[in-house]
Amino acid sequence: MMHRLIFIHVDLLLDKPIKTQVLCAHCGDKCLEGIIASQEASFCCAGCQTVYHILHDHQLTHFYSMDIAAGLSQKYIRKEQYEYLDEAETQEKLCNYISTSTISIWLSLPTIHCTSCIWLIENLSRINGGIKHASVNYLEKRALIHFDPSRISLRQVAVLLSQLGYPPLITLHDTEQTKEKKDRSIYYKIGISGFVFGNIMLLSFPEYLGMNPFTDSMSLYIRMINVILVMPVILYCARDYYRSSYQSFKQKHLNIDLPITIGITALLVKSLYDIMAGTGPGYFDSLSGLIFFLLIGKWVQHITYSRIKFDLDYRSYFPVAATKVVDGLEIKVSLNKIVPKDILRIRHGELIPTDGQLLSPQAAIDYSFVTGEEDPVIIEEEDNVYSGGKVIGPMVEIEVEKSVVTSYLTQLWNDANVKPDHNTGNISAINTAVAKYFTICILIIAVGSFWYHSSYGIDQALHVFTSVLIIACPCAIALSIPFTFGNIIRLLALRHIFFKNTNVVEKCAAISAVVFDKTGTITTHKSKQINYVGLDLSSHEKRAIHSIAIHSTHSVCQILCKYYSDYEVITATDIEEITGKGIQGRVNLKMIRIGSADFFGQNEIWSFKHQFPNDESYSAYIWIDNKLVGAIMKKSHFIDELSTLINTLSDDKDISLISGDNDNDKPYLQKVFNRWSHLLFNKSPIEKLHFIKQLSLNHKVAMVGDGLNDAGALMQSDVGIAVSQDASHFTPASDMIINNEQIYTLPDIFSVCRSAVRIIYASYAIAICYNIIGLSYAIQGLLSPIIAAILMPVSSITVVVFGYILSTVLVKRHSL
Amino acid sequence: MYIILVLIIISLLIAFCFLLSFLWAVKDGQYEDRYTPSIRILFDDKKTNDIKDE
Repeated sequence: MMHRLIFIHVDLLLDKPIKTQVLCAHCGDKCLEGIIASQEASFCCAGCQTVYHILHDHQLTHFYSMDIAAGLSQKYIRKEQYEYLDEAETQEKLCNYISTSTISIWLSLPTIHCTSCIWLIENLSRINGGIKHASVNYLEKRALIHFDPSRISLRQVAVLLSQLGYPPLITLHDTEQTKEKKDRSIYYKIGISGFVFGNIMLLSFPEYLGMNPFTDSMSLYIRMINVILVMPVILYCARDYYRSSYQSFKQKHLNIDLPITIGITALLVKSLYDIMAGTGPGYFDSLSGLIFFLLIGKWVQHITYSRIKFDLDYRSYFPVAATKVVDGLEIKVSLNKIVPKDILRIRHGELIPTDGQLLSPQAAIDYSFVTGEEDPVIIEEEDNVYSGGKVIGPMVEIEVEKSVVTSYLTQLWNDANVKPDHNTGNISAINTAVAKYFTICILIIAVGSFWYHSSYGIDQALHVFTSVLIIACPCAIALSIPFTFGNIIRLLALRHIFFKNTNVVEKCAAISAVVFDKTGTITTHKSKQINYVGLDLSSHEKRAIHSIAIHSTHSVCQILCKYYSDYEVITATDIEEITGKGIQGRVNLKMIRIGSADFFGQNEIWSFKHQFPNDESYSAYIWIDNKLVGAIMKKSHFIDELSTLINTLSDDKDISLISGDNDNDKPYLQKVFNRWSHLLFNKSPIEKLHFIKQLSLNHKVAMVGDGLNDAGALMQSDVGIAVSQDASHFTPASDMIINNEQIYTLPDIFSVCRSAVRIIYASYAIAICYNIIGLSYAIQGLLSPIIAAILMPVSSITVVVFGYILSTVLVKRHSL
Repeated sequence: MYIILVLIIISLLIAFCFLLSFLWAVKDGQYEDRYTPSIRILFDDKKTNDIKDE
């Protein structure tokens, strides 16, 4: 069963490779680079084999029977050593609880992806008895692990997890953040107000029905119980509304909480007066119901996708430690202890933590995330390197010039964060506008009817005045946005489109200009494709090319490997990679070279170009035995739907492109974008920010970007949309995070948001109709507790159901 | 008829117990992760008897 063999159709006549494909017993991938076989199972790499054996030795093979291909291929998982976890100081910052017998820690394990993962991690104690208990939070991809420090160290726990294919992700941010406590008060408030609402409703029931079987003193007792019950709601649950309306009053900026507070006060005063005077049972049921519904609305609005972090900063991008060289020995030091003159060693795929000077003869550094440049930059000895770049290829040594907090990347981030009026946060513009007119209208009506009724006596006039304020309480209006927008956010999140909050929906509806970044935003990461141009190659030659390309980490070679992945790898000798030029090696006595035009035999290139003319430039050439046989051209690496996306969006919006990369793609992009579009290249992060600023003078701007170089622009724009391959990946601070496969849905998202705002207006119309009915009672002084108790919930429920159903239909219509 | 008053108070006390148990559940963190427990319950725990749940 462990031996998964798949026989592929073999056809000798068509010159296809003859092979039997073996699938890895752990991850289910094809075993390409030689098969590692043991215990009647086969593996694609040593990593997968290790995991399989650990599981096998501890009778945990149940792991494989739950999900198909439960294991993750270990080839792409970088193993860290986690030496820095031995430091007591780091441990103290990371762990939740430390004692001599138990340490508990939350570890972020981004590779958790299926049910089997949960099972395996929660059964860690069977692999190592030192681990007492582990529990996984699947959505947040984190695990809480309790272990006994006398039997296993934190570092060993991390290494064990990493061996199993779940390397803990520990970033600089984790060590600096103060352990935040989750705010659970909304649950307490909903629980208490629900309890109070239900009980007061029950106790008021006899009086609703007009029956009063109780003696007077009896009904007085019940009313007293109601007064006691309602107190926690008034004093605790509704506290935020008082605070918010006090703020709004102080800033002379009306918000929706002000009329709500007026309503609550009117209800409370009127009810207490009625009960004291013995004229009625009071409106405590309406009061507690109102607060209960409002709190539920608030909760719905704030169901945040806690696994998605919208406010990440550079600290989440950096690792905790770097490798420092002291007297020829490597030691791990935490980033904040790195000082100028330190010598750091950085390996393939690792991040340069701070600015410095290169000591190695040459290095290739990928700055795509920081600057938007697509191709790695080649630098020589003594050149400067900047923080945020990723080292590609062989290990390099750098001498530090600045500490991490003063480095280029950190500065870039801090500059971008200086954004004025950033605290307009969570206040809805629509609601604010409505609240203003609503409050003024209601006050005029209330005062008007007070004045009209004052001729019948002050009691009657006050009764009418409070009645108007009670019935006009804008509960339905306050609920319509949370439920309608909240529902849209929830439905879109299923499609990997995440909104920061409900206000973003509103802002999206008003967008009139869209600015795109190039690299990583409208280009694809996955399945980069190439075209081969040149002489026809035999399968032997293809096999040989694959065998050489696999030894290089250069992006072109990696794509080439995928392109020829059907051709088996054979042993190659004399492999030599010349950074920035190409790679060469010998396979079956044939010399294979893959590289740039100046790698080998330049004079052939011109005649080759003449023979195979092409619009676009070739990214690499292939020589076999000193003869130029072909060239590789990267296929348009833009997303397939780009032209449709741009066309649809440019119907009613200004489209621009601003990139930190060079203008190689300009001819192609000019064809795709319309001629009014701005196409800007070679722009620095600050220039991007200024461009957005300029544009926002006349437009509501949405910026679509992915890297740190867009961070400033994303924050400056009205809606910053971060494109990400995976929601758990690092994205700069933004208002919306969208999976890069969903980017073609942008026009639909904007249109859904616009329609959603229309739904809100329709809900307001419904709420106002109910208000007019209620007011017609109130103005005549006919408002009774029972009318309030029916009308207020009914209006709220109508608005909520209306918004919920229409928004669901809306999202379905756009097939999102 | 005053017996009703006693009954009301008893019913309120019982309801209050439920409220308390809700608040306790919130405090215990049961509302933090509303997804994983639904998977965990499906695991075959014959072999994992020795692992003590907290």
